[in-house]
Amino acid sequence: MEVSSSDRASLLVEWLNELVYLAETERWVATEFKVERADDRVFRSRARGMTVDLVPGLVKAATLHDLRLQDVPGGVEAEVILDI
Amino acid sequence: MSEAARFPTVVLNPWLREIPASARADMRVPVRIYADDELWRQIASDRSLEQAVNVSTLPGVTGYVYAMPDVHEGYGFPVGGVAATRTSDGVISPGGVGYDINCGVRLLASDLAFESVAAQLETVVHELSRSIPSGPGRNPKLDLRGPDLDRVLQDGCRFMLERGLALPEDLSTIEAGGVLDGADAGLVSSKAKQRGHDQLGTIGSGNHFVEVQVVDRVFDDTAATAYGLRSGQLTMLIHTGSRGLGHQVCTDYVRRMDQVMAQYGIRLPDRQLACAPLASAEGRAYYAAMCAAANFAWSNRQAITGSARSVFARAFGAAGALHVVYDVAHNIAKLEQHGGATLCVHRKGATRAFGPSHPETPEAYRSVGQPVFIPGSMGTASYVLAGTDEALELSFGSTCHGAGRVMSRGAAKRLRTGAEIRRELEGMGIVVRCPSSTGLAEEAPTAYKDVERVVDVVQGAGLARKVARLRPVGVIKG
Repeated sequence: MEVSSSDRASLLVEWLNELVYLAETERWVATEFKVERADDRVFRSRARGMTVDLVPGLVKAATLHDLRLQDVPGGVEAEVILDI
Repeated sequence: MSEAARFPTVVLNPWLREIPASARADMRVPVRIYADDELWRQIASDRSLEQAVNVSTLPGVTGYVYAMPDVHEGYGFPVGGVAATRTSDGVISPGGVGYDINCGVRLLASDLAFESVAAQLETVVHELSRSIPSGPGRNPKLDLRGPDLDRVLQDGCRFMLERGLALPEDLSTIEAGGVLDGADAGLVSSKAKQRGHDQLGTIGSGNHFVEVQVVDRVFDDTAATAYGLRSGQLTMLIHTGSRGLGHQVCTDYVRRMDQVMAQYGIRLPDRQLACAPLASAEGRAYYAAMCAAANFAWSNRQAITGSARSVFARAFGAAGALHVVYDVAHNIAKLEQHGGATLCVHRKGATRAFGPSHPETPEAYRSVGQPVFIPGSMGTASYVLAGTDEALELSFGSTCHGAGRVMSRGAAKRLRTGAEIRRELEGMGIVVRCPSSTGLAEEAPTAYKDVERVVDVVQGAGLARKVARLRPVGVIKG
């Protein structure tokens, strides 16, 4: 899965929206991720997951509303609001 | 500090308050809020007012930004907000329509008296729940791809009629005849089509539902008669929208506009308000894709109507005929004439409410005004209203769309369990079918404002008038 955007926070939203799309169309839920590339414009990851009969809790989309992403010791901390 | 205290507010009458354009330096127009004292207190407890003020900063916004009495905090735009932008120098914002493009309500009326068929209610609700997929359910019976799906996007209910999925008379009592001519299926992404191809005829999740109801009170005999409604009659209310297809169209265009806003010199207080000039390539593309998603939503409610008609025909024979009273959108942007100008009216969680004189009010309802449907919370009454000519001046011809949340879904779940809600509804004689107990808990009536108060405010303010009240007897929840 590779997504591109103008900044790191919206990259996260793009990536989550890919997962929303896969959950709805393929009934596939990711459970394990490996990040291959993460910079300010591109985020590439590999994911393992499982198909499910019923998606638990449908998400319409990850939104840009009150989107927040900041560096913290040992990683990043982010807040994304999902429309359900 | 509460939201109300943050902004100076002028009380204009018992149902209307105004935040002047001077309240914040970036406001372009004032914000007007329809509410009585109690609703005002609830509205001021979340971020609705700040969001309405943010909307008033959009380039080309004109007149007033309106907040309806059911307004509550949304993503970018408040839910229950109305904003009109000039086509010459104004913008269009996908966030001003919302993720569920053309979420709306359709009322079907039968000729049956509820009392005469009450014994069959449980069977009928059960059969409806089997015929109309809810939650994440798909509809393999109407799986349309390629050119057929494009025809739905392009031609909406006109295509449904061609396919024998609508009656000719249905289209005359659907907003815009069930098709917006500005649609371009080619501007809807393949991802959106992949999400929606097998979702026609499905309710989805969230606050969407199909309800079997009985007309339990008539307030305006003339309008009720014009709408074909009478006391004791069995009706059905359908509340859903454009499903995953519309969600993806919004996602696609919020992203696109977020990336180009800077090129147009647009700076906004909330990124989710992402927009582009109506006259720009991005603005025109979103409008055409949104129209296509709106056509999909009207077709979705049409397909559900078809499923309901089959169930009623099996249960009641010819006596079970269902006619479309009206179908109206409450998440949409429309190009409309106001004050001699063409404006793009964004209604997010707000319903168009045109009066008797408006040319878009259906011929059959010209004497009384366009029907408007205001669903209550689950288990409480819904209202049929009639649009007024005054609303054109008061709110760009708009009114409320529901009770409006006062509690988040999470808070509602912490307060009551789905099993408790189910027992309570069944105790009221309401047959409930819902695949998810969590879904029931999220939609608990305590999570919503009092719909009667909301409706009284819109009537007091002159935005619409009460015609009839519908009491639920069967609920199918998404």
